[in-house]
Amino acid sequence: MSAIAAASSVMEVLANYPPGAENLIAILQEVQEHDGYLSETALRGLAAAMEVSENEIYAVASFYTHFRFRPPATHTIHVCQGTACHVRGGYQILYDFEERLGIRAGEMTPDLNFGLERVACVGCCALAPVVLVDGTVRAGMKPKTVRSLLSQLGRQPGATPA
Amino acid sequence: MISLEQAYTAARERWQALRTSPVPIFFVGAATCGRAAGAGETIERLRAEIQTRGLQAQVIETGCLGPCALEPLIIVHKPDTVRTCFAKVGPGEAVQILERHVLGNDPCGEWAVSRVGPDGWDAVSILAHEPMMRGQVRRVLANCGVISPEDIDHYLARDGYRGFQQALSIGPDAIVDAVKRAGLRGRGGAGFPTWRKWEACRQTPADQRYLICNADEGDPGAFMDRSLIEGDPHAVLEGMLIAALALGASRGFIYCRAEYPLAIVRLQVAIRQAQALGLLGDNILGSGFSFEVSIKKGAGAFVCGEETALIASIEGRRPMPQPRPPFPAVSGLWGKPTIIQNVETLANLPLILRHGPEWYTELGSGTSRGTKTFSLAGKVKRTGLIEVPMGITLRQIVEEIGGGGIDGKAIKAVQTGGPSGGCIPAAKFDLPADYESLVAAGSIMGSGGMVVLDEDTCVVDLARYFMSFTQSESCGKCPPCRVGTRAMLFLLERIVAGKGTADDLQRLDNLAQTVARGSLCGLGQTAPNPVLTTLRYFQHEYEEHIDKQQCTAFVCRSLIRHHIDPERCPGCTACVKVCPTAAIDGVRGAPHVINPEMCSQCGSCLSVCPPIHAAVYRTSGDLTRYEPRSEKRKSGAAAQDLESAACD
Amino acid sequence: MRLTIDNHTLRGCDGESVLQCALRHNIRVPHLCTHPSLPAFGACRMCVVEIDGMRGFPASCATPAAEGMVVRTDTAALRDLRRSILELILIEHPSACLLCDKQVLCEELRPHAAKAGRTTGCHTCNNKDVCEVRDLARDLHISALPVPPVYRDLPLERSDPFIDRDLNLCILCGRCVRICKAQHGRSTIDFIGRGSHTHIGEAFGRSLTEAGCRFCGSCIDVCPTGSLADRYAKWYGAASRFTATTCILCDAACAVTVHASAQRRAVMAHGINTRVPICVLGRFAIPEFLNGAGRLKAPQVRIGDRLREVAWPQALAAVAERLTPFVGNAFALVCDSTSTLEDRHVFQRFTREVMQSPHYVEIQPDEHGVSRSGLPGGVRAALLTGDFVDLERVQALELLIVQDCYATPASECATVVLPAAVLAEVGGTWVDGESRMRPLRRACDPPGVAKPDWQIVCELAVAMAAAGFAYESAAAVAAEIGVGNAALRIKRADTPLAASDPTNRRTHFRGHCLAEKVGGLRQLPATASSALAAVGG
Repeated sequence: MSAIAAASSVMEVLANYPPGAENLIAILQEVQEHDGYLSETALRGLAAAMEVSENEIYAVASFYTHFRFRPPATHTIHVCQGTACHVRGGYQILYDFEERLGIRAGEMTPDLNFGLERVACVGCCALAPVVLVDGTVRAGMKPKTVRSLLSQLGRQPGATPA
Repeated sequence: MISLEQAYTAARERWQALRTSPVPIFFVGAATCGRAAGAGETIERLRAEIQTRGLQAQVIETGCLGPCALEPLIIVHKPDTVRTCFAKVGPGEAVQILERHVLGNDPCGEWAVSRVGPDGWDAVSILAHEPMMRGQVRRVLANCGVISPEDIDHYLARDGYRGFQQALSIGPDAIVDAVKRAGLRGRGGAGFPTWRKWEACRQTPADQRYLICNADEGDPGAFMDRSLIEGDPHAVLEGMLIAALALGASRGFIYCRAEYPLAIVRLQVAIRQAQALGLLGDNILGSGFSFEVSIKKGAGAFVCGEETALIASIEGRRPMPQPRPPFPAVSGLWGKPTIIQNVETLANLPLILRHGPEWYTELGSGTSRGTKTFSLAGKVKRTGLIEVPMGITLRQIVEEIGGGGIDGKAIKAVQTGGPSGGCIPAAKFDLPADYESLVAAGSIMGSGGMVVLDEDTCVVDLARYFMSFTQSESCGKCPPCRVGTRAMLFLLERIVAGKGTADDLQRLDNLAQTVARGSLCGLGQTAPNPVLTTLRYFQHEYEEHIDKQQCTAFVCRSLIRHHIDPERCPGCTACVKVCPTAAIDGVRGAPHVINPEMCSQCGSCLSVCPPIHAAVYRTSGDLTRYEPRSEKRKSGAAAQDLESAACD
Repeated sequence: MRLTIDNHTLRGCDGESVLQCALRHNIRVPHLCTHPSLPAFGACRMCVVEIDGMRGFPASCATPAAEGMVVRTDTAALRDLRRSILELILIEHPSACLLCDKQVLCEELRPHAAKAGRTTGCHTCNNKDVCEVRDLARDLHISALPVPPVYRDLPLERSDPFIDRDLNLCILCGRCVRICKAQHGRSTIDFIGRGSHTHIGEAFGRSLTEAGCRFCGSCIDVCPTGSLADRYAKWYGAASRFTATTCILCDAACAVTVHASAQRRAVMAHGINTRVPICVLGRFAIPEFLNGAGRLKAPQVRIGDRLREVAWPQALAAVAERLTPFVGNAFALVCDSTSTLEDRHVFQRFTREVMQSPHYVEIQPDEHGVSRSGLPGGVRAALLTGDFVDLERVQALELLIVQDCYATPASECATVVLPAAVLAEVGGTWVDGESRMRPLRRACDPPGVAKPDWQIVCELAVAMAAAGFAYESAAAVAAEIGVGNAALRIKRADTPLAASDPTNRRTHFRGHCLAEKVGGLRQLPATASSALAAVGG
């Protein structure tokens, strides 16, 4: 992400909002949708345009699980950790993903192809356990479907976690 | 801009036309749960088929009808026939139904949610007589699954915004009086009398007041608010209008969690439609009352369900709760009197104003009047979104409506109130589901999440799960919550790992007291509840973990050992292939052996061993557990059983 | 209004909290995150009390005092709760010493902390003598923790000038963040992350310098633990003396408190007014400047081609002897306005009356604090109180006396060098940028036998047999001038420019480049003048 690109995307987003910190989350969400993450350049641009320091924006953004400060992986899998998903084996699903990708939740594979995250609850509890694959809900997950899902996404079976 | 009355007339005509439509209509339940089950593909396929065949037919997306485990659900309107509801309709099934039922005369009994009895076809039009629906009274959810949530005419045709008009005619004081007589209590969790909350705000002089709809629905296991917004967004808007009128608020916000993108879209559409009809904006319907609504998205923080944190989030600050006083009703958003109300609470208001408080209080028990929506989930046959009169027993909910346990397992308890609530054991299922009874049992009503636990659920693990959730969602401001929940989690993880000691239970209890009394906000104050209730009702499970290294439910991985019974194992190598740590020795034809030192107890072998062999068994403490054998060659291929409607 | 606290009926003031009311009446209620100059935050939960009619245990810092309130601050339930909460705080704070059963003996043998790279307990903590957490732990009789403690193992932050940060000691009370926001508007530090991963820091983990810190030091001043520390002062423990005086490093003349050690050396300075910050110089430069190894400690006389240390009488006699031939227009005395009014009065009198010369030169430093001047034509002997004049001109003098605090190129070619006491080592009266009088009070001793400027010149005058220079004290000089009623500049409406942006700071004081004497200043962003100098402007 070049500095110029990041700065101009910030200006584009800001143009849609009235001034003030009231819309900070919405603005950050739009910037992240646009750039994929919140870069230093983007936050610098925001701080200059709003009445807050970069540190204060970062402090707000770092509170929320949704905001990333590094570019995301090619595919991100969110495993739902809601109660219903948990009692119907969601913890097993997370464990399987962790084993097969060789990473813990919150991390990315070294080739940056896969990111694994927990998500609190997407509200599909009747169809637990549930995962989100690049934002799309996949319900009724089982250990076997973990395998087939990953191979659909291009993960080679037995790929050595580096 | 057409007048509202003209809009009503047109809407009623359109709705009536829909009811008596000469062309077939497919109403597809396409809320997030429906889409997760594949309703999106079903809709696409239907539309494609209709186009290719050049048919005159309509596909209408609706919200959630309730029995989520049966999704994708469609209701088919076939001219001159009673409407039929079909379950588990994927794209292929949809085409079959189109050809055989709509174009032909086949009842398609394999998907119809009805019994095809010996006397032939006695299809049921709406699910009112189904066991899952029979005990419910769908007042707040009346439109969900029936109307298109993106068509305001459907809402108007079913008396939408009539409650608001009534509210305009009687004025703020009478509105408050009606809400008081109806006995409406907050549906977000604590059940505080709504009229009393409003009074504090009304009595604070101010040049500006705010109304916030809390659609953050942070409790994991709860999806009532999502379903309501996705299925009937105007009900929420109408409720906000009524509340705002009573409060004297001219500005409203809907704070919706970002994990609900479809709900946000539905709200945006609904707001635009209401604005177009003059139901939002300045001088609404010439009354002098003005009200603007905007949507604020959450960004992944459970604590934003707490009032002062929610306000901070909207203000663009870190959402760390503030001590109260001052209460938001007196000094809230940007220092102005602010009322924060749950989605369901607001959706009750149009009904109260439309039908009157006497009608409203016909249902309910004691001081818990009206109905409550619940997300029934977990280890129960019929999971989904339900609405019942308060006061019915937990047994009625879990067994009659929910259909009881799955796979013949005994139900152990039900968890209500999410991370702030507790487990109520099966022995207490004759308790009425009302605010006071649930509190007396150690739990809370909560927002409506109701998760059923069976004999295969370990309550110690569940308590650990909730504590882990609370730890990760704690804002970190106050030590009792930030460190206290971490300390409790440490002890629970120790117990679950088989390393618990005899004093751990007392330590847990002491910490629970500190966290409950010392925490700054509701998140911390209620965080120990799951631990406290499970200790109260299931202390023996904790003791088994500590004293016998035994997890009776066979959940806690560290207390389980996997083995292969050589007398059952034919040596098919299915498990060898899936073992992630290559811990299974085996050649084809000879019984396999699990190497206990390499085994991570992940359970993959158990899940792939064909039920015809069921050779993998487990031990924990004193217990041994084999899986039942059956005729199935492949594991996981459950027969279609609509009555049980299991998700497996 | 009247309310009851612990069965005492008390008068409450409008707008004050229950905690403020209690503390005002000397009722001890534990508190950690509260600070008198900050609005209530309600984080630490130590100040919980019981109030009739209110559920649970409200925080007294956040509860406004109200008419008829009945409050209890010291019940058994409250003591238990507070102890439990402090135990939780100590789980995440190196607390081994607080729980050790050898505490009493250890305190006898080693009352002060040992200097260490990493704090693992009170015994190696720079905050031990003044620590609020430690005090509370003893008041509440902490003896055990419910679960094993956790050391967060966050990296020690040592790369910034002046401020050391050990986030492993931080209890997240938030005072530092709040005071930074309150004093500067846009804060440099803030809470980062959430829950147990919360720490105080800057965007993207930058250093303080990169994050735009003004180095006003207010965060250190309010930190209740050893987490934020003044690197220079941190191991001195509790000060023996606190003196309120004026910082004269620029003409904002902020009122500061100077801490002095038992050996009467300056250890630390900080602003008195907690609503408006002071700049990096006032906060961090004073002790290091005063205690520099290069301070002139004793008089020196050139014997042969070298300067040699001599005693005062000898030095003054040497000066008297050599100055006498230059009585008249050939003599000049050059000083700048960093000297006090008393100093300058004595300088003027000496120049006019004793040396009978009109050439008394008093320089007003420019906005960077640089004082430069030429010498009037015909001057062949000069007494300079700093390196104010071009070296060439100075070298051309027949007689040069330098009276200064540090050696300079000028003093290297002087005939006599006299060591002067400066800044917090002297008392007197000073004029700020708005022509108001400000008091200077002596907070510490000068090095060696250095003396205040006015005193040196008086003794010189006496050595030259002049009359009327036998002042007993600076106050006596002040009385003669007719100045009095100098008041400390405590109330300030505006933040001094250098406090909101350290690139506005002065670079020189009394002819000395501050960055040469106070190394940390070199790590700060360049000032406008040094930036120009860097490009040869």
